[in-house]
Amino acid sequence: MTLLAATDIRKTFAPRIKDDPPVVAVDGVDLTIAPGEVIGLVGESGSGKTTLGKLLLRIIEPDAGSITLDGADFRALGAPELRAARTSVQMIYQAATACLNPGLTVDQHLRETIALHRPADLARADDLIAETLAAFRLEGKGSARPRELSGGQRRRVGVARCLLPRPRLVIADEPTAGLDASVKSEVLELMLGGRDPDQAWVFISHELDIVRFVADRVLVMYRGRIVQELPASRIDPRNLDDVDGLHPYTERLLRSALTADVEPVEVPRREASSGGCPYRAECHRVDPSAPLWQRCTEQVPDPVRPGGTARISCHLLTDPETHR
Amino acid sequence: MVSDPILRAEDVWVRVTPRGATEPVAVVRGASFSIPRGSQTCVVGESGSGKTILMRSILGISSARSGVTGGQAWFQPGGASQARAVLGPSGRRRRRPLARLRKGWAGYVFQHPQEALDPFRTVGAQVLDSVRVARGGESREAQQAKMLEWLDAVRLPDPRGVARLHPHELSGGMAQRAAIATALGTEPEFLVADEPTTGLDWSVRREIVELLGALCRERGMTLVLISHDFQVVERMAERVIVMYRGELLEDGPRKRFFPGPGRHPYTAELQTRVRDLEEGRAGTGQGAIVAPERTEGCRFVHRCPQVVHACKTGMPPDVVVNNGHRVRCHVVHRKDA
Repeated sequence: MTLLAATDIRKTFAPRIKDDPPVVAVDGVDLTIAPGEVIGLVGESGSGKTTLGKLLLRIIEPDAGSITLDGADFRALGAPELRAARTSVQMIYQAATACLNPGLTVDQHLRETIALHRPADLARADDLIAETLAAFRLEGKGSARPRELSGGQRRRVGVARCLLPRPRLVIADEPTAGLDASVKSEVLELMLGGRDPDQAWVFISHELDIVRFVADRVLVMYRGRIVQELPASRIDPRNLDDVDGLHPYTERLLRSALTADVEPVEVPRREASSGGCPYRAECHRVDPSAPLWQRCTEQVPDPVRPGGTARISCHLLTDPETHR
Repeated sequence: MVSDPILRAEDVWVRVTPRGATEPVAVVRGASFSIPRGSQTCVVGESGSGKTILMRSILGISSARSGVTGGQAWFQPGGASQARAVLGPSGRRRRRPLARLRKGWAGYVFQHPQEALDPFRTVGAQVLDSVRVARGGESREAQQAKMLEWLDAVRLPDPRGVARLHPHELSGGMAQRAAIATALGTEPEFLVADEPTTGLDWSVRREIVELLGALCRERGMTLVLISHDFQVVERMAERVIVMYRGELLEDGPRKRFFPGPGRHPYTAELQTRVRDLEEGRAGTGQGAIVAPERTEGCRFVHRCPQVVHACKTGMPPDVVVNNGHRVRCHVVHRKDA
């Protein structure tokens, strides 16, 4: 069963400085999300994680590609239908403060959400707000404005507002970034602790150790492409036995862990040029004098599934002739 | 006690009047500590615990609304015989030592490098500003060469190219490196790095952490790292200072904290939560974080699992548990007394 399916999603932004080349933010992403699934989306800053999340919900319109929600064409929806569909697909934005209206109280934020997404419950809005405040440990904060709340409390208001419409898909963009450990665990519990078993999540984060435990499968993004998809249990820097099954970039991320006793990979700094594999300039595994290098410079590796379900895009791992 | 501290602070109080309020609130409450020369010290604690404001107040770079209202601090560039008071009795700022502090004794890497750098000026110009502070008498060419040397020292690729860029053209990791270069440009003996790894992905985080460590070793620099990332702290710290709601609760050498737990109940709670997050037991069984209340007693009393009567009536004394290891806790006091 598929909740949301996206095929060949692309987005290019105009450059910020005139005459610069356009910025390819998302470069042909395929993705399916099943009900109840939690997908981790990881990758360095600027790799296109947030943009991809926004494209999937049409918060930003994709340049190309198709998206279906429950089998129906999501991109064909006009403005009123899209607004109605938003009830079931919600996003938790990265900036906990910026996504709240500084002039509205917590109560007003929640009431607005109820009016928009649960109009049938508007008559009992007061009870619903009180329930929500209690569930998110915001008792007594109903009349507070965002600036009177701590960072963790603002984050909880953002999460509460997003979950109040009872969405079937939540895209959470760095929901725990910048929170300290105790607040982080509390926010995680509120988000995922009592969720509906059919509710699907896309969890965007830098924190691989959190992603490993909240997600079922993990997508690794690099420069607008998904370079690898793997089960979350493999995001484990303490267990790097099967390095061969990892994309060189995934290996680099895992080997950067500070907790495990691993040496980081030596990242070469080659001249970057367009075309070919996007990671080849920093790839530590490929030997530029080997015959395969030509393929790396000319051809974008297709995603394949060598001997299993994990998708991976790397010539080194998929080319049968040059297997090391 | 630390034998050869580069910085010594005694009973520092910082009071801030929040916007709209009339009464000042104490955000740092009687902090006393020493930073050993050449060491790497990490200051940990949750958001709002006063880590940043404490270090900024001592170095005289706190924002205009806050004020030091008590305590003394000495900077000892050449050992105890050359102690210079940067905070006089009752928290009075000392102007001349403060100027020296900024001109080469101390450097500060601000949180959020993208915001700390001037958006309208190139990276090179901003590092050059710092170089001029340390090497005002040298020729422009020499200053320029030194600037490029700093950009290279923080491992920025192509220093000449980067020097011409504006902050918005840098990635998060590059901006952090540029911010470190501006702080190093004054050639400080003492560097404070405020949350230098927040929001960076793992590979960049590791590079920044290793860069800071290497710079300290190469230059014999003293580092104070403010962070709530325990993985970074475990990697870097030779000494740990734990703060909670303005109070310095525990202070000791690395081996008292790792593998842990620390002696103070708050340190132990913090470490349990971190471990639970790492091992996927987020939030289970810990319960909610109880909101703090005004209290005459210990600042941690509302969350502490080991409360005794004394905790509710007064702030606990500093207990020296061991050589160089202090804990501010009634329970520890009782056990050790």
